[in-house]
Amino acid sequence: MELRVARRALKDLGLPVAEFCRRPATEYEDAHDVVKAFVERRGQSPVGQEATSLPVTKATVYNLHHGRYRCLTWHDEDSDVVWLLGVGWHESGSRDDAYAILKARDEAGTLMPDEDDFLDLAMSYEEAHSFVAQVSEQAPELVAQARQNPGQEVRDLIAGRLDVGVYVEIVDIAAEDETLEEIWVGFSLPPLPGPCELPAQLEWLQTVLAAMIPEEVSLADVEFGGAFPRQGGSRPNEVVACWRSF
Amino acid sequence: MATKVIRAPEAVHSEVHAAARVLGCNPSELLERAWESFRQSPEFAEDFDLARKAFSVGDLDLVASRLHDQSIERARQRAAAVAALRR
Repeated sequence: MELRVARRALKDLGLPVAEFCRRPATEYEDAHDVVKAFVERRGQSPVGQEATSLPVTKATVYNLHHGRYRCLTWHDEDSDVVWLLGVGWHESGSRDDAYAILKARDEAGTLMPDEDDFLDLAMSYEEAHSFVAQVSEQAPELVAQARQNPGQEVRDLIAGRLDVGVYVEIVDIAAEDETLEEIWVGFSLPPLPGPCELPAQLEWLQTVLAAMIPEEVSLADVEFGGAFPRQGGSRPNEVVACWRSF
Repeated sequence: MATKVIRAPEAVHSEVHAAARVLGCNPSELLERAWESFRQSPEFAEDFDLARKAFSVGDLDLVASRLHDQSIERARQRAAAVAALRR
């Protein structure tokens, strides 16, 4: 789960949008007390205790108080991001309700994260290239090590974040005087924290497997699932793939 | 034949059961069919084969461009989905 301050909320807090909009809030919580409170509370739970119904958007948002600041947050489960949507200031003795101002933004269509906010979450070309460059070297190397050590699991980190195990079994086909290799790959989930930005899960899985599986192996012959052939079987939440080649 | 429990969101659970009744199969068979359809889908196979060919000739730019484009597309789709939450 990631904590993000939407562009509109960055403006509310007087923080420079260009400097912070592409970064998780955890990286700059000291920039403002409200960001710190957001990280502390929503880092513990993506939802608050006090829900607010929005006049237009069909989403459950939660109040967050800090001093005289009044904020709304939203857990976007599909993106696994908690957004700080907007921040209002409550003057002592004032009848103005900071939440009413934020709700008015919902009516105007400026409260919820917009395309710019979601593009801030997207992987840049440079980030994608850095990931691909690491995969192109480390994934084939891991398979090569496992092929040199058949019957033993070889584990390593790919891109500093993906904990991957590879196991190669040599199967003798006596009748045909041939051998085939059965290659098992297990990806431990979730990825470890680290500086390398990862694509979405399906895409990093495809990319790593594409760097491992030779072109002559048909995708239809790649099996997903099954128990990784180590003592104790697959780890909890491990994604396992297997293919065979002569 | 069902062998393991999979937890699904309520709406998906209801639709899968309804679709399974329409198709005359049970939900686990439908899920198996859906998974096979997905892994044989042109999108899944194309992305995989494109990356595999690109790695084999060292064309890292092509793989990186594809990942970048997919990420941008996903961001746009998510923004549109959030905008559609407006009643």
